[in-house]
Amino acid sequence: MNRPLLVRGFTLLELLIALLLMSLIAVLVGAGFQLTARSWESVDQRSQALAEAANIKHFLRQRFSRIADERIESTEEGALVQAFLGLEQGVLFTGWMRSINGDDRTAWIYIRFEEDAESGGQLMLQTAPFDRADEVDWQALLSELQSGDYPTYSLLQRSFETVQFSYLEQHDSNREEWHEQWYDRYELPRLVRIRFKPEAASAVWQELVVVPQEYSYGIRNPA
Amino acid sequence: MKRPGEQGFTLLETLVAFVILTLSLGLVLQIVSLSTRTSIRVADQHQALQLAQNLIDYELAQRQLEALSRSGETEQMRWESEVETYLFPDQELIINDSLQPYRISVSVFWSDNPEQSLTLSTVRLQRQ
Repeated sequence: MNRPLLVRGFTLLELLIALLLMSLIAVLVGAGFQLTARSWESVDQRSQALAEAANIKHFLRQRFSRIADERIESTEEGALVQAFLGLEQGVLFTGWMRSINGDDRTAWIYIRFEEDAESGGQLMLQTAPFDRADEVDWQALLSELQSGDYPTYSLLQRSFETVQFSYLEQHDSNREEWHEQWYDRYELPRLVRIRFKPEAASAVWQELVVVPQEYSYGIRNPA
Repeated sequence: MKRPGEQGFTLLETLVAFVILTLSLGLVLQIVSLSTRTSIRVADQHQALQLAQNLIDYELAQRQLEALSRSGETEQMRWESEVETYLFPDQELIINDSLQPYRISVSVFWSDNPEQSLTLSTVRLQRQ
């Protein structure tokens, strides 16, 4: 063997120190990465939840602010009343819908909270044709909608414990009252309020308060 | 010291390379933390916007407009809403003054060092 005499390797001590340093750094980096990955995931989840809530609230705000000012004849009242049925867990009202061939028409819009044993409570959306000549029996209309002749869409693949709707009546500037129901009335509620209670606690589902555009843009009269 | 033609890294070089690697990883982590902070800010702003929209809708739902101010607090935020008579820039020139404009503005404040705020405002008319 032709081994040169002067080849020198590391001493054991040098090698040990080097290994120790490297492993220390490796442990630090590893821990940092783990922490980052975890927080990244939770931030990602939160921002997805936020985006979801923002979308749904935007949709609801648009729908409720554009409630059409339609009147119908109610069988119970026998008079022309507002085409608006507000219940604790759902609202049936009229609004503009764009049909497939591109023209806008007034339709019934039914947004409700529905409990489902499998997936928990969900927000559902349903639309049906509206004819202002029809005499309306609220009970019959509701059961017709629930019979499933009209397609039902789930607004959100997320389950809520409850979603509550309430309606503001304003007698005068100092006296107002929130109702849990609103039907056979001669005018729309001044405000519609929606309170969400998600199954898992979340900061993004604060309540939503919407004014119908009829009130929002109208010119006010003096008291 | 070395056989001709044979060359490797020294221990020192390896260590230095390792340190550089670690530093650059630290930079990556910093970027991640920055984006985390940004998304928290976005969440706060969204919450403030929701609150402001609710409050301005409440003012818009009032039957009559009158100059007033309200304020209040939620768990994390403080708000002020104000209704005041408003003058359009060229309004003096208009003879018909049967309509009185009112300016409605809602501000929401929340502490995020420094304090952040968001204001929505609009104008509505009332017959005299």
